[in-house]
Amino acid sequence: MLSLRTRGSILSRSSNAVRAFSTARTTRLAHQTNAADSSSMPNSDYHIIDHEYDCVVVGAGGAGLRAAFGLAEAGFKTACISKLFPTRSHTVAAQGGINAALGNMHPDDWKWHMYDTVKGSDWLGDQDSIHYMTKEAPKAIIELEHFGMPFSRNEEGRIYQRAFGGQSKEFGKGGQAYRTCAVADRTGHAMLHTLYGQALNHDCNFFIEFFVMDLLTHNGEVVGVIAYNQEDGTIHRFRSHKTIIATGGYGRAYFSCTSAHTCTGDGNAMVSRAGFPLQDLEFIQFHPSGIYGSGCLITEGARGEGGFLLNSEGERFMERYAPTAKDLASRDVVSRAMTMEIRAGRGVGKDKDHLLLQLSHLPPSVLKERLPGISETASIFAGVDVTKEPIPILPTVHYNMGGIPTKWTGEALTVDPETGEDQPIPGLFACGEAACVSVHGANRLGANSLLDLVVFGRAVAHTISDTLQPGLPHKQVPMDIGKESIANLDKIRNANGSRPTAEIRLKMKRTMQADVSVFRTQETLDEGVSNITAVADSFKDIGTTDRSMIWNSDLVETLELQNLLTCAKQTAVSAAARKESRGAHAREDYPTRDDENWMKHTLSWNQNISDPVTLKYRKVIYKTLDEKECPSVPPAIRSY
Amino acid sequence: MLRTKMLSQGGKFTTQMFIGKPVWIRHLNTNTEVPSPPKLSREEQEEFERLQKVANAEDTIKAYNKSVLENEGSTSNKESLEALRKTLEDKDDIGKISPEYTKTIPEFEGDVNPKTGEMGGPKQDPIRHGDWSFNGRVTDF
Repeated sequence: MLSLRTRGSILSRSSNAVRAFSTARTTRLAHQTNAADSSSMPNSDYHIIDHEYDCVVVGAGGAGLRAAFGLAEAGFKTACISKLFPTRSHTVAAQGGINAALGNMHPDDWKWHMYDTVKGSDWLGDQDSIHYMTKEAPKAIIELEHFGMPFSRNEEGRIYQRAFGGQSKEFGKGGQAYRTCAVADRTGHAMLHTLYGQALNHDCNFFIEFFVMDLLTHNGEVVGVIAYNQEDGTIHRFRSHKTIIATGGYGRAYFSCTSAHTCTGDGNAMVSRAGFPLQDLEFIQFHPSGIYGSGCLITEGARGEGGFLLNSEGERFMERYAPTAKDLASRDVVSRAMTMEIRAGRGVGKDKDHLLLQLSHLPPSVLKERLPGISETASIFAGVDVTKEPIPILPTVHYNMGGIPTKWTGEALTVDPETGEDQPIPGLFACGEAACVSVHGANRLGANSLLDLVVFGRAVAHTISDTLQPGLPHKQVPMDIGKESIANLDKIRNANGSRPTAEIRLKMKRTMQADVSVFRTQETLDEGVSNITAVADSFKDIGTTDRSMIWNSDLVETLELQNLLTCAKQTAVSAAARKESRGAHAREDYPTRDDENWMKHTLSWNQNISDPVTLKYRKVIYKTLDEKECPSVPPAIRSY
Repeated sequence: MLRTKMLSQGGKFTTQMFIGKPVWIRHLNTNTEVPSPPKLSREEQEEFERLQKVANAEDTIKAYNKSVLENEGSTSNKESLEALRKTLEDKDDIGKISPEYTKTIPEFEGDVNPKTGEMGGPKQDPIRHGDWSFNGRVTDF
């Protein structure tokens, strides 16, 4: 068995064999005795292969890879399962920077970074995890540097740091801080490739293009995952002591988003289906000017240099919403005004669902010198010539602050039904955008997301290596564990309802974009809840056409839609319930923050997309890990 | 004489055999129990496997690398690049846009930013508009 296993790992480490087919086969041979007792399964057509690992990481983006090789390094037999080839993960597109109080440009203190992050979170962030993240940030960056990440340098040869929004010195009083490290224009790209390189350097077993369908749970404990191998149509059950979800966000629930087509909240939905809660889904970051269709964002500078927004009547509507600042108003104000115009029926296009950003009145010299490249971007992503035509734009989802609630250690949480106290979910961890460690709270600060994924990916590996011993035997679980998941797959694969996946998906996207985006009142949100519930209910009429098991993209897209629907539904219900304005959740009817009643995290449960969403609340952790070392930041009005 | 020739040839041949032989070991899937994509008809499957083998062979990679190396440094390379760029520009299917607007303008040349002293950094200041952008495209804010 040992020799077989070794061969498997070597193969899975060479880039060509990352298909992991060989690993699966060898493991199957190793466990042939308990594998594939398909007679007890609902449909014996499915070929089931069982695997046993110490830890299973779902997702191979920045957070997943960091966790996976951290675990492999600590001696755990680790599987990393991804529906994509790792370097195609969306981390690759995070081309901003990464914050850490390295103090390379001026004396800096991680406590100042901590203050900025708490303030940015609008006091919804858990201060213990923010304490941990900002304190560990310099170490995590230096680690990345040692892994070979090619950071840009200053003259002394140290990592160059630049000034980015929301970063200050001396607890907001010392002016702009220079804290954001970057690798030229490709920080996320460099980071993902560095981490992937490290993962290959360690003994991680990759399962690529395996679509994880569900968590396997037994007696309230997460004991592994079940996945569909798209290449050959086999079903794989992975047993693990610890399961780590790092599947990223669910931007694709909206019509316009910057995230990749693969950001479908699969991990969040798995956790929901297993009966565990998700946290703070109502907090979603929007950018006002995403190009219609592609979601690619146009810089604020376009408006800063004199560009303006137009509605279908050719009116510069920003004059009405912000008489002084007009088109230069803040992002939130512009996004809200745009959504209100579209809702009022003054959108452009055949569906009246977007607006126009005009630059053609600007002299060519301004376009050329002050906005270089914007013409190129507009021509590539919108097909327009900015010197002649306006750019079609609409508010676009950029980041999901919410996700799987976790502690600063990466352990996923639920609440005790009796006492309401936090309770770790045995065997489950989460990190990256899929998790809500709650370092971003109600609003993420720029360049803190890459930090979040690397720090908490690492934290997961540290926590597990401190508490688990490699190679422990797995507990007995029922032979037919995961049968519900296979039944669901079978149902969807053979669904012959009247509505194609694309139709329901578009309906969901449009509903979320119209009702649960940036303009939020009780009325619009209630409308959103009933509309998205109707869309979720229509999922029972789904019809698919591809019945095969080999690379059935129809099936995978439908499973993804199912995942998106539960995320969307919980987002709408959570948003309708939160009667205050905080960070990214801005209500017209409750314009102020209400710390007395709402300084708490929303927890939402939705096991079946046809079930109603249940809400509960969990208190925000106000105390830091060590009050002596780093006192917590008392709530104040958030203004910049 | 003949013997020496044969030996030397043989010797050369052997060296080639051992050095030049691809160290590529493919574990062919012989376990028929394992599900796999449906096989093509016999001739087509053989053709497919043959082509796959050729594409994976080290010789192909070597030949490609050689062609790249040969092209590098030669004057014709520059011309061919120009020609390639021209065809790409001509092939714009979303309407022709004056190239002076589509060109990304680096703010400085070389590796070191003369204003900030940053080395290996971006060629345009990413935060000049407040958000983190490149070519007008925002990636973080």
